[in-house]
Amino acid sequence: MKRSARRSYVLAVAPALVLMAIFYLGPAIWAVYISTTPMSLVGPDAGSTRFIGLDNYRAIWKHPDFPTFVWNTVVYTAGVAVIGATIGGLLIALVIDRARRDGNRLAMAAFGAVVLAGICPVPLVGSIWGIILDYRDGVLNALLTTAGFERVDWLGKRPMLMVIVAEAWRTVGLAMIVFYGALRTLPASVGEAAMLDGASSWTRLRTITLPQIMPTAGLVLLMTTILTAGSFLLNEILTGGGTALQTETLALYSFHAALIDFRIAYGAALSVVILLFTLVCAAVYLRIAEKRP
Amino acid sequence: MIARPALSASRLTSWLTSLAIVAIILVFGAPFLWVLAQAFDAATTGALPWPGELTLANVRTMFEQEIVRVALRNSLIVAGVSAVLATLLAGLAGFGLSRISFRRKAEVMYGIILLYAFPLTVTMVAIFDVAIRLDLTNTLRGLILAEVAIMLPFLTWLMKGFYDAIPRQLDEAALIDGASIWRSWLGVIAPAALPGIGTAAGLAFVIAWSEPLLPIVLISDPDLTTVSRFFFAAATSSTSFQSIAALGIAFLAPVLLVILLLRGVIGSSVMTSIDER
Repeated sequence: MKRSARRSYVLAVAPALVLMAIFYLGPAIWAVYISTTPMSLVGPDAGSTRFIGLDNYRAIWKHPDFPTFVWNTVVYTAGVAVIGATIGGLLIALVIDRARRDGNRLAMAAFGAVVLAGICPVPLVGSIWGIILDYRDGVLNALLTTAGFERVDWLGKRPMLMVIVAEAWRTVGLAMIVFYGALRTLPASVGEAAMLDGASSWTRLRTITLPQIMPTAGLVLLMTTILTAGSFLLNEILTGGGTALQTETLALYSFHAALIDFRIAYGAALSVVILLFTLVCAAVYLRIAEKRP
Repeated sequence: MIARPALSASRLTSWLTSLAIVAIILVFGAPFLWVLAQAFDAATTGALPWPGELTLANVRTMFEQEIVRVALRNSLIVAGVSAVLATLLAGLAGFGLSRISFRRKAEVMYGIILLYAFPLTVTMVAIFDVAIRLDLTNTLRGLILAEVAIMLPFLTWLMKGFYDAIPRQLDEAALIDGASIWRSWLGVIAPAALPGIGTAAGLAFVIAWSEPLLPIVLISDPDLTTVSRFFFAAATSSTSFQSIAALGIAFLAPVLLVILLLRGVIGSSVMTSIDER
């Protein structure tokens, strides 16, 4: 009886496990192995799984634009995950939380708008920001010219900044939800005691709320860094990497190499490099967290 | 004397807060209102559509295109079948994981969710290769299997949380009555977990409906394009926005509907499953 029950439970889990193994865990391991082969879709090495060691990684390292890709990834991740999502998300959550306590009826409308941007499918976000920033017919330039200013070639002159703004616009929703949830569960008693002691709201924010929210901020930072370092779709839609690779991040380069040029193994090696990049970021965050008094 | 400046400072803060709230609504909400306006605006050139003449012409033009109808149909198939399959698999797996006991169970549960440390960007190339080897590229069934696989870790975790909340006495009562575990699951446990099953199905539909990467990786045949694949192609080419806006609303509507229906359920159930660890 007991054993047959156990077998039934295992059988219940099995189909999901098999599918995850084939299309999730398997590919994750397979990607690492592929990166040590010369595999491509076309040419003499089509489908080859011959082991060639770290040749792909050597090729990436020697690529003349590799420093550019890494630098772009650093700027992009810092802009989107650190400044946009984590700092921006905390600020927005603080504002909405404060407005709610003030009894501001628009607080929940603001919450809804940020969440809406967060759940909006990426290709639609791409269309929206594409038309906002368009040089000739863009909304931003229409506003500028109506106000009597010159048009600005947003995506041509400032591609990285624009990609960061658009990506942060959609990523900040997730961060804001987590921060808002954390703010609402903070014990109110400490803040109230400080208020009776005459502490201003700014002092209370700095000395009570922020220290308590720090663990959440660390979690959000890690989460959004993992998401951002690997994201490229919006970047591809808006700039395609830029005219002089100004916005070609590691993730976008991996996409171009593997799925446009069909250099499967090289793209896989790049995705492992992205994984290493997120690990380095995680290590840096941990270091900073430890150094805090 | 002392209270006075403090009071005005707090009024200033309130005032600044209101200002910031309006700014947030504008920055995050206005683009959606603008998409809505574009979809029904008769003027075809205005970058700043202002309620002029309302028309359904944009909607009609969009849906008259063969490829748009194909994309919508394919997306419905992919999202619908994915939702059924994912709910069934996660419904079973969540049940098994909830009732079975083994050493280091908590660690295994965390391991499942840790799969997401491998973002799709990392596995994308290998998924493409696996799909080629299994001859599943440019097929809707390949796309469906891959979509289901990437959402299963999260949905299984979610479903386990719902089953954990159902008392085991319910299983035991059904088993004493002589029913097999499968019958007791189908007849007693699954009905009790119906809110969870509904949540999983809604989320699965939305994920498969809006997830853009797998269709881009696995589908190149225009006859098999999905809405999110079509959007990617349209956004990187120069399709006029008026015509896209109408489809944008069709694209966003199911997502919005499901999120509104499930508001609150998701967060609280994830929280309980974490608390019980």
